[in-house]
Amino acid sequence: MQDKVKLPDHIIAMLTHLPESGLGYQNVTLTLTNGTILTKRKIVNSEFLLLHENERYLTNDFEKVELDEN
Amino acid sequence: MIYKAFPSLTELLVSKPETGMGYQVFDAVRKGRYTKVRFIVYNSELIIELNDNLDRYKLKILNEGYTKIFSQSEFINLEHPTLVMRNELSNLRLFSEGKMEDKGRHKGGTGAVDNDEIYSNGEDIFVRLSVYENDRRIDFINKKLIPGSYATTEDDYLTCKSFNDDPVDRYALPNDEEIEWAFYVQPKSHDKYHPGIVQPANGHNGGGVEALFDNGTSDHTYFKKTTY
Repeated sequence: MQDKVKLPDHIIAMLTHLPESGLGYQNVTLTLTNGTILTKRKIVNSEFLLLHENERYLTNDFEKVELDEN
Repeated sequence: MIYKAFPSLTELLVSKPETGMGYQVFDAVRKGRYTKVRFIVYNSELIIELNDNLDRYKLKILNEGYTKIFSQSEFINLEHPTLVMRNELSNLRLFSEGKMEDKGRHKGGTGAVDNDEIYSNGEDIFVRLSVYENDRRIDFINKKLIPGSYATTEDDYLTCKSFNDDPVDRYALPNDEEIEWAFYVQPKSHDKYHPGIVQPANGHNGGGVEALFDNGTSDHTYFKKTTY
């Protein structure tokens, strides 16, 4: 099973007001607090980021989110 | 119910064109009644009424065998049969196009996001399948789907289950967590949605039915939660 990390509350709140990309998920670009940008990422339940293999992030690593266009 | 045609009806149907490979769809009136009902007939002899139970009867035939089902079925007396042309049918998935291997999935089509919005008829039921009991696209207080949410039709959900299909592949989901919950929604007749077919994505084939509710659904349209 793919690992995931819970996003911070302010990002969850934002995602809940954005449309889904498919049943139960959203395609997004995330910006971390250190400036790193993660592109073409999948969020499930507007709450969890699906991690790639060997990725490790903490909830507070994430600063903002943008929905990818379909 | 599954029925068999009287020889006279079979003889008539054999003389008519097929609707698709191996089957015909026709409207007819049951003897003694007044309303036309739509049926599908296989091999001009095995008849099933076209309603929400079609997929279950198809599965019964697949599981038990055509010959056995035919021998066990009762005759049905139908009058005034009228063939239905293919272009009058929509979203009809039938034997020759939905083999067991395909598990009742749809080929081609376009995703909901690419199709125009239509109004719900106020009666159709949609099901949102989820890994999460606290699915965040369900407003549990106002009992509705929130804007920008996807669901499938109850019919497609039941088809997925009856064929023991893999919902992760059918709905092209991005993770392999097990779907555990089904949330039932019956939109009002003024609620709109984009209908579509799940397109291949996330390494999966899609082929299930999807519905995208840009504006969500009205209050008190979410009415039930069950395990998947």
